[in-house]
Amino acid sequence: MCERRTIHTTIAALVILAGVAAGVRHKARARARLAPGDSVWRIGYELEIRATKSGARIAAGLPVDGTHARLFRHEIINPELRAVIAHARRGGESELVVAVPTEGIHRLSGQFDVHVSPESEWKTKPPGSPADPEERAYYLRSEPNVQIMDAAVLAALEHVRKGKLSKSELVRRLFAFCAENVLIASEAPRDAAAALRTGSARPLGKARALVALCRAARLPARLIVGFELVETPRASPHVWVEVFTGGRWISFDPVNGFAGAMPARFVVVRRAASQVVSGADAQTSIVQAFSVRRLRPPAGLSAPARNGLSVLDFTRLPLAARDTLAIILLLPLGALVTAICRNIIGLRTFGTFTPSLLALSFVYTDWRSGMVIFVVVLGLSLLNRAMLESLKLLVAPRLSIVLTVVVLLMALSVSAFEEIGQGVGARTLLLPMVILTTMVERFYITREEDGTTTALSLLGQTLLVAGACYLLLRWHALGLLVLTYPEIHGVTLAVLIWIGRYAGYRLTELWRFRDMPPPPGQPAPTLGERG
Amino acid sequence: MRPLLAWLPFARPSRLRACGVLGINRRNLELIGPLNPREKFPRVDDKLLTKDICAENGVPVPATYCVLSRYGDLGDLAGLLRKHHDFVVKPNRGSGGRGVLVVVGRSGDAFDSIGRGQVTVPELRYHIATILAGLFSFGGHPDRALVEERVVCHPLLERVRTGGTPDIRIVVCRGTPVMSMIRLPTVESRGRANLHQGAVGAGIDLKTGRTTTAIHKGHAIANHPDTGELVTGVDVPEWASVLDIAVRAASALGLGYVGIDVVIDRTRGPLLIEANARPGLAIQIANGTGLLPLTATPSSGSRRSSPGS
Repeated sequence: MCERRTIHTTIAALVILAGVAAGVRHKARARARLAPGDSVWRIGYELEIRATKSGARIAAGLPVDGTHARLFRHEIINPELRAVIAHARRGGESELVVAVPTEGIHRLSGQFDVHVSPESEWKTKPPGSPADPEERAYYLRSEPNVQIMDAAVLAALEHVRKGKLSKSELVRRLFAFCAENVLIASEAPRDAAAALRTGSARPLGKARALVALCRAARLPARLIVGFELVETPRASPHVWVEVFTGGRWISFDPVNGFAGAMPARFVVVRRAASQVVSGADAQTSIVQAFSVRRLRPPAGLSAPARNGLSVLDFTRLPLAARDTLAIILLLPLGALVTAICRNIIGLRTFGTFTPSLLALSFVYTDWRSGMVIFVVVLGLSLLNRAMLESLKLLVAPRLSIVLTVVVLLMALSVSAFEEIGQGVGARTLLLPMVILTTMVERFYITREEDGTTTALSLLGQTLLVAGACYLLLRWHALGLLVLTYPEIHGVTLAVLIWIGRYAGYRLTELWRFRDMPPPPGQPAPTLGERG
Repeated sequence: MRPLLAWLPFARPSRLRACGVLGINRRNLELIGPLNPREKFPRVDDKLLTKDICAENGVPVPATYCVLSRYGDLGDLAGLLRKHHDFVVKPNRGSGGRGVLVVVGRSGDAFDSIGRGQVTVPELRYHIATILAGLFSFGGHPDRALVEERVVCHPLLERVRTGGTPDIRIVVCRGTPVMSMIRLPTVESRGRANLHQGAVGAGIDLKTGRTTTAIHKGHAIANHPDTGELVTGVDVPEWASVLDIAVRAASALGLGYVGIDVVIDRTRGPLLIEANARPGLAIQIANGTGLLPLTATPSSGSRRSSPGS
């Protein structure tokens, strides 16, 4: 049987290939060197949220990947809060978003490790231009602290704008004007108009003065908040300015005097904002503490590579893509668990991939609310399905009706969870809709044909396997390991081939055939043989 | 591991092997895979095709009254069925008795069915429409509905069944019948001859055609749960022609491992109703013997002789 030989060869080849590839990668990671001048920093966030009312939405900016800086690792510690990483509406930076579940004091801390490389460059998408009129208007608007129609602002602009100036020349002069005419002082104003009127301001006021002047001159401008990477136990966010001229955003730091670009040691945290954390209001106060610490460069961290092989390195991807890939790359292991449960244990499930996909949707919400939604929606949809039976509809419209009801129930559940202050995030529910619809139909048919016991047993087994997949999918460390060494899936494939050729008994068959009498000529089983 | 298995109500794998029990993985890998070519599967998945092929090869099958393949055919359903007093409606690609409706007679405009009571013409039309839509077919593909001759239970089997007609499953491996059982409908199985729906399965001695041991829901029994009649030691009528049908059908269908289902009609005798390319394993429990030694290749040493393994 050369078929058998082919199988063994394939399994061996896959395992060896995976081992060799992982070994080569490991060696390369151990050899990886940083470029001269590179450094690694840890920015620590400690937030204490004091809420007298539930439901507030707190958003904290995260270090943004730039040409010379890259967030390569992060850890968020939030004992009782559910934090998700989302994209800011404007600017598109990643933010840590937390919905305050109950009144009281909540703590949230995070560590963000940034690799800074002043000499080399990462390829990054430059921040988008304010192309559409709405966005342009946003960066030209007057704000309570950035008063572009104020007399002091207009007078200063009038003073600077003499003769015919190019836009970039005008920006340079406005920057110089602020440097000379607004001096930093404590206990000084924080808004643009007062800064220009009195000639003194706090750092934020000085930055706002430049933004107000630029906007008054019809140049889109915004504040940038970030950190200077200098070792300190109590870091305070630093604010600077970006002005849109010549088709791109140009950085100006009125406090430190950098014009045209910021040094590599400044990392952006949020654009168009003056604070790292937003969401505080009359009912919610936030005590913030930040720290910056030098780190020893961890193994595997390397200078920005420019060869084609870097395509094979998933760890170089931006944070959001890495987080998603770390879960997606675990899906094959979920499928492996399902294969083991079906072919070696002998469990039966509704559909082959239903357990893994259910588990995936539970990873995106938290499993308790996911479970509540699942049970409620499944139960009510089954009721709806039973009522549909008397209408005697054809299959496609009937399934579509079940889908419609599932969708409506899902929307209602999201709304209900929001009502009790437990936002679950609607995007997390997209996935299981179709799975739920087919499950409702299959459950119903199974119940009709084979009885409620069989249907419930199948549902229970599906959930059991989904639970096993869930534990696997939420194992973040394992996800990161597969993200770093994706060749591990060579072993996954080898195991799947082995399971695919497993001709032995399933565990459930040892139960099913437990009463088989021995073949003639052999003694009956003794008591010791089975209980 | 051993003490644990001894404590739990599980059989040890070694004991099952000694009993010759065939597991589902081995059935799929070593029997269905090599012996049933995939291109022959439509011959058993499509009941109409099965009947055509078998009828051409001299295997008796129930008469087909009509085949409904379009919703338009349903308009004149009453007219189509006018001539027939009793009949069976089944999905062409169904399995496990799903979607089968047995009509035994008429009362006025309605039909008397087994398991569903009286069925009106609109209800029957809806049932056929769900068959056409593919509700009972494998993978949910659109299907055809078959209306065929109802098989009337043989008097000798009358007392060991409730509702439907008993059917005989013969597993044919490489052209030889290797195991057989008769499935007896019960009240619980709602007239259907399916073990997992609660029908009784009784093993049949291939040489004599007499039932040996029987099971109901996984437990050994001797009497029918509804009628109380002895289900062991029952002689299956016309056993020789039942076996002949099984062998001939298996060879006509070109499948090396196949379950042939035969029913015995009061007047026409044994008729083939369908064939199954993935026959179930419960037949081993009904017979109290394993399929493994019966299905092994004549030269069972082939695995050892393969080089390098």
